[in-house]
Amino acid sequence: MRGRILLVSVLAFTACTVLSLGPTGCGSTGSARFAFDGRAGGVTRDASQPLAFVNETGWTITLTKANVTVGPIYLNVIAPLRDEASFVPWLGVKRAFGDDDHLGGGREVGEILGQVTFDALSPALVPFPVQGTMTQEQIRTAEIWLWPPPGKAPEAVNIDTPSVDVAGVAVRGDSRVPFRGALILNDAWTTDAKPGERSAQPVTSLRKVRGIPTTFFPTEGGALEIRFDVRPLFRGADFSNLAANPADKDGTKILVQSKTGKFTTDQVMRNVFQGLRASTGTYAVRWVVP
Amino acid sequence: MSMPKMLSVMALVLAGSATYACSDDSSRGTPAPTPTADGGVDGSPGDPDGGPVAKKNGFQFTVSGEDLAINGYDFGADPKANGDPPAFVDGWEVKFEHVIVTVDKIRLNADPDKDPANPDMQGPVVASVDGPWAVDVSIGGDVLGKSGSPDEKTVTIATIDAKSDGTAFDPAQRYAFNYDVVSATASAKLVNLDAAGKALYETAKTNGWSMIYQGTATYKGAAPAVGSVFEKIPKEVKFTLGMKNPSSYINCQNTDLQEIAAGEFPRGLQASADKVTVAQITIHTDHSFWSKLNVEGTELHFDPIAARASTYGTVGAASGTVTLDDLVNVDVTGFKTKNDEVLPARSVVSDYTAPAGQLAFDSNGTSFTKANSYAAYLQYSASSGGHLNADGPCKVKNNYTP
Repeated sequence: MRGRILLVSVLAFTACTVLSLGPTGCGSTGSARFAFDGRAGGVTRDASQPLAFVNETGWTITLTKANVTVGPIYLNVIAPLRDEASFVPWLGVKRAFGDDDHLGGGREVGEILGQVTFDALSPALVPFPVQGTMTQEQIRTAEIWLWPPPGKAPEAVNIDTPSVDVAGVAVRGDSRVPFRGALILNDAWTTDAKPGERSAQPVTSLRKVRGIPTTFFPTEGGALEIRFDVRPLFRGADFSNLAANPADKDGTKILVQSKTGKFTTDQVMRNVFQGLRASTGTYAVRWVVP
Repeated sequence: MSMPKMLSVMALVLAGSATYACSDDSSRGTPAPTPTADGGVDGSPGDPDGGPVAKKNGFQFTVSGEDLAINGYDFGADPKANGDPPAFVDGWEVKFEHVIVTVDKIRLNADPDKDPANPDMQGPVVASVDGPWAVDVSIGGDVLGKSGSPDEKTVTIATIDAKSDGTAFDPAQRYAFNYDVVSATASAKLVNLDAAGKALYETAKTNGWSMIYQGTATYKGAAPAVGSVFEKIPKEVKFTLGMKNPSSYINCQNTDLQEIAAGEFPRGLQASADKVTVAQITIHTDHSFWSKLNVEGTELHFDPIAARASTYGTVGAASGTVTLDDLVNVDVTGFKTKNDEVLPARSVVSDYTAPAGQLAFDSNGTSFTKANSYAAYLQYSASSGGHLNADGPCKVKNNYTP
């Protein structure tokens, strides 16, 4: 675009960003460094009860499945891009804003170079398969990367492993819509622009959730805890948009992500995509000390 | 900015000094002249020359909407053949009659790099000047802007010659630059508003708008397919987007200074002992029309606004109007027309291919009080358009609930 400097903050792909199963050290030196455990799971709740909630379009949604895969994880000293102005009353979580290219690269001082899959309907915390490493500094934001599985390049576009796999039933008035869907961060979400063209963005950028506000000063012996709230993924979903979607024999509607073809990405899947990548409301990151 | 351009800027500033003189009080900045009886300061419409004059080693603050606010967005089906100017991929030419922002509380702080990771951390205020100033950047002024385009005409709103304690700025230091965009207010100095702008500003005060984009969009693309929803969109749409998005722009990066890393520039302003340093508050009007939040260079769309025009619905519809209120209940995750039809994504330019299916925007990690509201999305994105100099990003603190 004329007259525009594309102020894209590029996160250098150093050894820190290569998914590995061994603890590697990256980040600054000088402060204390130590290893730590990380765990991820759903929100704290009574797991004996189904997860049911009413979203902002008036649908009562009962989820029967919500498997989420996250990792690697980075902890950054940079502050969130924008300050929250007030609380969002829905779900009682704070709202923050921004992400992506207006957020500076900052400095990553903690990392977990591993991936974990967990049941977001369960409060049980699943440990990462590898320990993380941390340089002891004030943490202000977390980054949840949604990388392809080990063995796949981070920039691989054609992958088939979902970041989130959901199923449930949505009810509104007389309408009852059973649904299922697997969100895969592949080329269905990239633009068709070529590098250097208007709105061109690498697939790696949409696989990063950056600027998640968190504030802690880590101490050795503590652990990183990530709680995933699946409800924001359906915040604005309107299941009446699934009328024309493909369905299983039992009538379960299948969420679609596709740029081309008879069925293209539907509004519910877009909301899942938005919610998965929201810098606030979905992920709660904290440091816990035994 | 090159030396010859800076000299020409200085010449324009000095030429404009006849109407207003600098204050001798260097403890605070020099705002525009005192209000007239009606509460505003009447500049001559189209003749905003005569703003305050800065001194060497001091700062002059201007406001710009770039040449885009002044000339608007032309449409061409082959953008790269025309130098690839910013344009709407869905075929709209957009011209502004008014782009009015209310600026206030310019502050220079010590130590912009107090915490490189956190722009909020800066030293104490060393100099400041308060407005508020209502500026119509679609009219502009007589100070050439930072982009280098001869059509970027900026207007001076204030100067600061020295620190609050009376001492001179240190040319070896940088000072953090901060400013606010605030709600329209009766106390605002109407820097360069014409009669129509003043009337619009009265509406802005009533509604609490901090930014107002008013103009006309005209469809210039290829004729839409017969039977498509695009046939039912009027070819001319008059829009008034009054936005309640007051925000603070904090510790901005300065693209006039040497880049320190890819896309990263030093924060703050740096005085010069032998000249006036111009600091330009730049409003990027294109942000409001992005299809993805917070990503510069994102393609621009007007279809989702036009599809909500008052006259939408019949082939050959007459010119229609649309306001931000018409967009409150519009869902960015799946746009529909005023008649609740699916609005497909479309591109009528050669260098962008629209995805198949329904048009949708990407909030890119941002949430709104009303889920997916296009009005919230648009005015939030507009608030991200405040910069320092040509493209220097600032940390944005929203002083409202998006």
